[in-house]
Amino acid sequence: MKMYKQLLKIALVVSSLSFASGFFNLAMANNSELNQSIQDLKQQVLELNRKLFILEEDLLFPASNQLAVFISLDVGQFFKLDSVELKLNDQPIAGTLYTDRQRTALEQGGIQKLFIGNIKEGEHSLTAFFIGLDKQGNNIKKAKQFSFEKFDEASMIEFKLVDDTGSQQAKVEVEEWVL
Amino acid sequence: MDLRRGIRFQIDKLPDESLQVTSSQGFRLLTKLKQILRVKYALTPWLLLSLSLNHAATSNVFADEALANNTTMPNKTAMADKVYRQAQYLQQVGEVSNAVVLLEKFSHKQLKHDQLLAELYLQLNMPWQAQSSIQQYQFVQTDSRSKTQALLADVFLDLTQVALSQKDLTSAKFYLEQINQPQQLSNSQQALYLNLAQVIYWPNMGSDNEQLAELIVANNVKADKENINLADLTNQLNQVVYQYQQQNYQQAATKITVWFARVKDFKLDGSEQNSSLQTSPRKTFENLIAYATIIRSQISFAQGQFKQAKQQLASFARDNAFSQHALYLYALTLMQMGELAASEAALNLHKQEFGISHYYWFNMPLLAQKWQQQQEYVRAFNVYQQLEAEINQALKQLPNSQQQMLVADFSQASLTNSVAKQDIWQGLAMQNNQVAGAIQLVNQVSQLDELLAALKLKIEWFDYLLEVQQKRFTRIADSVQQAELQQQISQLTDKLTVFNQQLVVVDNIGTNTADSNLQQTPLELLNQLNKTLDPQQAKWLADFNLSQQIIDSLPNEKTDENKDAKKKARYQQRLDKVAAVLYWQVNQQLPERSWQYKKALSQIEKTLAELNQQQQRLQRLTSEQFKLNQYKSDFAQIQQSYQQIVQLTKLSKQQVTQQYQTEVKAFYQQQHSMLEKALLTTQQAIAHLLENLPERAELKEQADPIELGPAGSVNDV
Repeated sequence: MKMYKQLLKIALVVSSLSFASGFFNLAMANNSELNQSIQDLKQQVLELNRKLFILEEDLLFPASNQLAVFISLDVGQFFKLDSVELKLNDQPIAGTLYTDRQRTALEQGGIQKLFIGNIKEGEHSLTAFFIGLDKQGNNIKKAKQFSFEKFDEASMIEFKLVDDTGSQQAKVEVEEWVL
Repeated sequence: MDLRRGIRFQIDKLPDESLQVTSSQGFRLLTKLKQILRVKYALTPWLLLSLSLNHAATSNVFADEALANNTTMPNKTAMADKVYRQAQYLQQVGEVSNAVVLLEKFSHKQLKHDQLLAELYLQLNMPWQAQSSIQQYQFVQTDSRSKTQALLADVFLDLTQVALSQKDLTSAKFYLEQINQPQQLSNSQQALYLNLAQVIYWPNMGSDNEQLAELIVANNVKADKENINLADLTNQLNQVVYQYQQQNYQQAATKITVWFARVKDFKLDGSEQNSSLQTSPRKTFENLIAYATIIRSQISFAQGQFKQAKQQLASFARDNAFSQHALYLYALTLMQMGELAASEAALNLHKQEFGISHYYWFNMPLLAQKWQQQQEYVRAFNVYQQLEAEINQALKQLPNSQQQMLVADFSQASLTNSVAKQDIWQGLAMQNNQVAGAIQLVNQVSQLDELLAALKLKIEWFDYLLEVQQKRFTRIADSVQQAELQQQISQLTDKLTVFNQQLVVVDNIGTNTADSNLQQTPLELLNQLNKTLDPQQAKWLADFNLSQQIIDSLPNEKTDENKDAKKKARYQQRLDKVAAVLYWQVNQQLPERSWQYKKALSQIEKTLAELNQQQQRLQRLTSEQFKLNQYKSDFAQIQQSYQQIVQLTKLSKQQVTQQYQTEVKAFYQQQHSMLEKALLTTQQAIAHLLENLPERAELKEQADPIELGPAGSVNDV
């Protein structure tokens, strides 16, 4: 009987300890130093990544020739974006077929860099085609042309698909970023 | 030299026409000027700022004009916002490291997104960088102090949670201690703070935290039920657990009843549903309810209310994080109620569902004891035998030191739960805190490996890019060499000089009056125009010059020989006449010649300009070659750093693997020792049972042998 009581006591202690470890799942892992050095290495990798990113952009797309095109969405109430096509001087240069994740990211305010490339100085024309579904579920295609002059600084142009509550339709607006 | 003054002067001295541009053009002009100046003089930012101010002043002067032209000054785009939103997009589509790179790329431009950056670092499992990022934010922060404090508190709370999830209690404690004045946190932050403090300091929360807990409880009592969040519920439940552990069962029972009453109408609010750093709040809530149910049952059990405990556990959800514990407690409760067959069935079900665990090792001897108390010696004997067999089997299955090779082969793939379930001992090892901590490190290294693999691809790609660019430059240099551009330019320049000189002569002669021209002989005038003559005229001029030489060589000092002198004069007169005729003819053609020269000149100038442009382009390319060399040098440094990181990663990997192996080995040794002890105890219990077996029990066995199924019946439970 005495032994049973002892065992029961142990069982209940085990039970209590298991709660703590089960729910809080704690450990006094003394791995901080090693962890810290791994973190530092990760930081160094990211740093190298950043340097490479900058070098690559400088080498491939110097500011004097650079054209970058961005896509953003307003609420997206009147237009469910499926894909985008982009033409520069009537030549197709980029396009995206959106996944749900990408669309959600845009709908939540994200800006997508759709294209980056080199163009000569002078007059150019960009045309963006937005393909998707309207509020009633009908296929719809919206296009916007934008003419601009390329100078010796980077050109950054954002196409914005904006909900127009007045017409209950989406419209495309263009913003040329001023650096 | 005061560059600032010099440039201001240059801008002020610009001709009016150049300033009479629209503001928009002015802006572009300024930008262009800035670029030129930046390149030429490597201007410092304050200098450019002074330029901008100067431009602003100029813009004001011409503001009316700009208004008249109906143009507006383009506002500078809020790049901070644009960069932030791009990073957000990248984060949401899963390109977290690219988002970090983007933000860090712009960080030198005073674009501060450290909260997002801290979040991204947390997603990359880099809490230290997150902390550093937010501390930088604090440093440059110009917003109100309270806002900074709130932001910092958020990050430290996040960091604490991450450290806890990594089972790194030391770091968790360190992060939580960074919040100096928890009383000043918002309600939700306070609740979370207390929750984390309870976990970290359990069971002693410290007097400060207890005061905070009381404050929170008081606030919650005042507050509406719907305003209570998950952290509040957890805190309150922890209070119950605390009372239970202090053996204040009555108080614990009252509190848990209140807790269930409060939770009845609880709804998750929007912010909790969208939390990005934690696991699904709904799942957490369900787990919390399950945990509370077990606590309630355990309190009932401790108070001897076994029937109540049984009822509470009977409806426990099967697919729950705590179902293993619930089943164990259920078996224990049944045992206490004397329902030993059902208890044994529950334990067998436990073993079947969850494999071997300490719950099983502890409950089986208890069950045997119970059977013994009820004088069911055979059943008790059977339980001990089953236990002995299982311990022996477990000892065989337990990896020994020779089988450590298994541990060495533990790759990342084998650390997943699915594989762990295949080997019960591996599964148990995973549940061990030390081993789990080591696994976290293995995971960190494998994440580092992934980052390095991506970096390697980029390095290879950039290497290829540099090679292609170098080939391009070599090709251009070759073609330039073949074209001998400089030679062409100097030839054309010479030609241009000659044409210019001729044009000057032609223009001079054309514009001079007849009288002034009369001061020179026709032959002299023709000689000035010698390069403008057509071939026939040139031949005639050559004849004239020869004739003039002959005339000049005739003696003219023999005054006594008048005949010769007269002859000479006559020759000269005749030569002048024909020269005059030729000059007249040439003079008639001068406007036409002048026009031709001008046309030729403009063509040469155009060609020369083109050549010069081409030369400038080539010079630019030469400077690009210089840049390329710079890129190569930078790239070489990157490669070198990469190699160093790879080496250090290898070293870390070795250390991590070694640590993991040590922990697993220690765990297996510990398990081995525990099992051997359990085996000894069981064997002793069997011996004791057999020695003290009453005769009537043996008789009973002969009369009514009992056959037990190995796992009992699930339905019994």
